[in-house]
Amino acid sequence: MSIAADQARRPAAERGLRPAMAELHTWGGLLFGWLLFAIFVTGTVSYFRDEISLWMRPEIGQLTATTPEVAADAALRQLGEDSVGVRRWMIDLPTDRTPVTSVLVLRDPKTGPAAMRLTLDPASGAPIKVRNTAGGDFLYYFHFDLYMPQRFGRYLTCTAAIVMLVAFVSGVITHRRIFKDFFTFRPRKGQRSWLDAHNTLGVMALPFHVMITYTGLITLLPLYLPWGIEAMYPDGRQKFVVEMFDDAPPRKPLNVAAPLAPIAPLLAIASAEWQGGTVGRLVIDNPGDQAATIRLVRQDSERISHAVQSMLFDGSNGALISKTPVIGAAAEARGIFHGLHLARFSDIWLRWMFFISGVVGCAMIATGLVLWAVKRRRNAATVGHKIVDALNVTAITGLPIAIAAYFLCNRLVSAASPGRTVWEVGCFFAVWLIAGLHAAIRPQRAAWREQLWLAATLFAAAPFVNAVTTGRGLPRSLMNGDWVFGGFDLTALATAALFAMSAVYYARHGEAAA
Amino acid sequence: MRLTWLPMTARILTGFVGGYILSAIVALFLAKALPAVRLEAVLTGAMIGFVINVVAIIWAFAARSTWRACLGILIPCALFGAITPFIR
Repeated sequence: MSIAADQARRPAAERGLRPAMAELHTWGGLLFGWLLFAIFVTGTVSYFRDEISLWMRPEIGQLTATTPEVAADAALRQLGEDSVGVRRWMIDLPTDRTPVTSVLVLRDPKTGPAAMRLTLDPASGAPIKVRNTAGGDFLYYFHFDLYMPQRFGRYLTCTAAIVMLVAFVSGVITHRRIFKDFFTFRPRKGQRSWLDAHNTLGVMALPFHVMITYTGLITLLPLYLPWGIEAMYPDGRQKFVVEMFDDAPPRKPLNVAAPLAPIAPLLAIASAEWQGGTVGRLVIDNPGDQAATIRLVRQDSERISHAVQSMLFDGSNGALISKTPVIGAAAEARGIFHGLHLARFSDIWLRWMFFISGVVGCAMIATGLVLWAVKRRRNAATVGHKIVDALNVTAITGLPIAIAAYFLCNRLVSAASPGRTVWEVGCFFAVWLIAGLHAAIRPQRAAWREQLWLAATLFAAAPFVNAVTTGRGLPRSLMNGDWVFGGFDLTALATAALFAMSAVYYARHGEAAA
Repeated sequence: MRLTWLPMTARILTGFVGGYILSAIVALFLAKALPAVRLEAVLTGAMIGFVINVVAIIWAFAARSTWRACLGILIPCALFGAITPFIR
């Protein structure tokens, strides 16, 4: 039964479920599609946030692994030489993904910079001089903050996630022959091909898409649905934070000098408490003061759940102050949802599966956006259609171009330049803006062709520029088994190949491509 | 049949504004009503609230008539909204 026949059987005042869902899917998907595409792309890339951050700080060589005890001890000895006015050291110990110790130093602004990041050699504690860069963190934060002031970006991301879930439900209802159509692909048939591609991509990774979108909402739960918290925590939101994240505010300093207790025994106590688990992070408040505290946080890659497990010790005598209580079922469920979203627990193979599922999600959104335009090609001269066409190009090719430019900028701006983080981020937005203007000015077919080729060129350029500027080129990485650099360069080349193939296909078949 | 602007606006508002309000009220109701420690009740309420939000939007567009769409959101809002203030 066709949609039209389905409608004809109903009285005029009522309308069929499927056309209603198709309409909701079409317009909700269009309005939020560009934003969702940007969220999906930056989120997918963020599975390799640590690796991207390493590639963007090439000064960090291939380092040998150390134990948490050695790294913690070395870091504290190094940091202890400069503890005047320090309010907090947050020390992230090396992991099997990031071989260095990363430290955030928060300080009384009267005695020095309020916040300072340090990268330490894990074995010796000696600072490694690395270039200033936001690295993979920029793409990670953009994924939900959208680089907007206040919490505006996060509210927008939550709304987009709700619309994404609505699009899944309405899409499945619209698309009734899910199983049969999964094996249907009609290439080079214009609109039909885009529809088949959109359906197949959507259904292929549907369980992943639903999981990642719902769990994404869970990560922003206190922001989107704070009403229960407001009502049940009249004693203040801080209490909720303490109960959920086991993160109590620091004690007041006593201004009595006292050395920190030795760290190794504390690490051993924590490890025993967690049945052999390891410490991933040390949070030390008021170091050098008698009121100092040492909080040991369990490595988040050891468990699926992202519910924090930590132990708090008195910094001067090493006595246990508190530890994370056993949490309830809902808190554990929330922790598992949060952990599934971040995928910190996954090994490299599962990580790649997540990445590929994310790419499928990006392609699903992109084909949906293109399908909208192709289906209405006869209205191509209208202003509305032209805006959609331009925004499609800006999102689907413009954003990858901006990301490639961000990576290239990391190699081309002088490593010693103090303001280079601003340059890199500025470069990302400037290039994206120019891509948007280009898409608005050029005829639609030319815009696609030129931007597909530009994306291919920039991603292909990244490994070469890397080889020239760092001496850690692809052949050397492969010979040394450096899979962070080798993997990045190979992924960039594969991305370039994908864009080049799309460009060739588009040139040959136009919109009948796919 | 394509909807004219008035019923369409009504459904959009019902789905997106009403849907959020319903999910907020349900989350609040569950946070207060569930017999568990407060953290558990709050989290359960919010995790179910997200689902309610999505279902409400689907309902607002799936309902056969615009009246049914609006009432389907309004009545549970009123119901939970009326009970919630009286829970302890």
